[in-house]
Amino acid sequence: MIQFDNVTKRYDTGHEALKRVSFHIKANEMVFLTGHSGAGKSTLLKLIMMMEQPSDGQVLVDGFDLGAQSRKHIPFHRRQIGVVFQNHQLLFDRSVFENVALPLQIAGYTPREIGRRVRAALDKVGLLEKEKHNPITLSGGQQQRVGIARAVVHKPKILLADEPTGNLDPELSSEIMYLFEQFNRVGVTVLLASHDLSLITGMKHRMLTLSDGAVVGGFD
Amino acid sequence: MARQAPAKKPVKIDTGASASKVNIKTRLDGWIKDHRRVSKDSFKRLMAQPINSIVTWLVIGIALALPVGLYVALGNVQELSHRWDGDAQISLFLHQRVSAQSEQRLQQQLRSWPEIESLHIISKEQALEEFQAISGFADVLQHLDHNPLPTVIEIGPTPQFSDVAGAEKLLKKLQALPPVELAKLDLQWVQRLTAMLEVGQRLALGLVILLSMGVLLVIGNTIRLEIENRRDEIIVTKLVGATDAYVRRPFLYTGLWYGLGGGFIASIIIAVGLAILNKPVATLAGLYQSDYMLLGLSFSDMVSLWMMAGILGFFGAWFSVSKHLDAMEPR
Repeated sequence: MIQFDNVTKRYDTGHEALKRVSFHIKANEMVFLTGHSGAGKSTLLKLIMMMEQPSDGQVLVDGFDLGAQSRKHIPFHRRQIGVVFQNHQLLFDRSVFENVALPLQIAGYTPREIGRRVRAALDKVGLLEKEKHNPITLSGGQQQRVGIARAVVHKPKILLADEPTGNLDPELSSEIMYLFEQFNRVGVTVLLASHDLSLITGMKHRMLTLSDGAVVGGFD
Repeated sequence: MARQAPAKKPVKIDTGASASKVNIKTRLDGWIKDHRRVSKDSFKRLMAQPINSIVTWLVIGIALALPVGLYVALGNVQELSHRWDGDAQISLFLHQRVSAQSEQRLQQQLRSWPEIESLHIISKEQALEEFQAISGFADVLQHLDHNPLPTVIEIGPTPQFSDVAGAEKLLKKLQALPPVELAKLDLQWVQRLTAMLEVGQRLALGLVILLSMGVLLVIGNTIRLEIENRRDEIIVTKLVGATDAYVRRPFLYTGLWYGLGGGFIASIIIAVGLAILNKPVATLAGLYQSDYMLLGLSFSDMVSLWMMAGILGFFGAWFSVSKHLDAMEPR
């Protein structure tokens, strides 16, 4: 589902964030991406999201070479992917419902369909009763769950998460991890970047380890 | 059923098979609905900051009212000059010594000329009476032992001889008549006025161009600030797959609303200005024995003003959006 072939990402400053990275994540897999901070985890996720272009090598998502796609296709590529950020990136000028509805609105769903899917997603993360609240009134863990609901509401094939538990205490963190596992169980490919080894080593999933921009473990 | 946006070739979307079955009508329907939602939403946003929006509307309205007001003024002057232009008159002042008999003869002779459409005689006595009535020199005139005023024949040429060249030809012919002391064609002021009007029109055109650019910049800058304010939202929407068109849409509508509102205010400014001027103009016209009324903006003029303003707003937003928004990519 996600394949990197000798991918190098060099920034204008000369810094090499990724060095000849190769790996393959199969469909329905759940993989942890680990490494010290600055090892290149975020860069790797950005390449998958087409927020960055590789300097060298090939990134394939669902069999398509991202380098061969024009700028115009970026939005349609992103609609297949759900992303969860450490700082959840919620909009505080609208309700929880409207935050989660955003990807559907963009894709042009009917209001009825939007209502149905948003409530289903909120139900899955256990926040159905909060739909009318402003996300600013929610706790950190709840905000992160709203972010997850938004990432999965349009039923993406791939779910990416960048340090989704970075700001949460251990108990909340494992709740969030459990959520990701559930989505993986229904067929979503999950790639989750985290440096919280104590949290993820207990879970039986492949660990892709980056160090200084190079893959040092779990490439296959 | 979901209306998935058209999946472009290289990207497969797993619901693609069913999405492609969604017919064009449904998709168009969704597109229209989205426009309706976005236009309403951007209007509501303007209303949520009434002071800011009103100030912007006023700036645009004043900038548009200036050239449009100048056009209205020019239109009025032109209308007035047309009124006088139409009946270009030649006044014949006859010699004092001309007898009533030869006056009569001259009159008959002139009536037979094909160049002349109308003829109006003001006898010495009539002229004196009128002069006494309106000049305020009644006392002075009483002291004169004879009437110093000549008989005047006002001649209205036929339309062919009403233009500058034709009227001048006729003037020469009339001047050659023996009883005529002076034939006077008051056309020079018409020529001068026409020249001045042309200058005025150029000036108005220059103002229109300059101030329209001003409006474009004002709207562009306002939209730029708006884009900055909504940076987070733009980045998040781009991350969840918004197309550039989708991201642009609310800002273009905002520009359109700014333009339309500004145009509306401009038409109010002009209407109020005309209402204030109407009374003194009527008084002035009365002094010239005219019942002239100021010409305002017709409804269709107003609609085109609004449309022009709306288009300016749209393009101001467009420039700003293409400069600032497309560069705003999630990092």
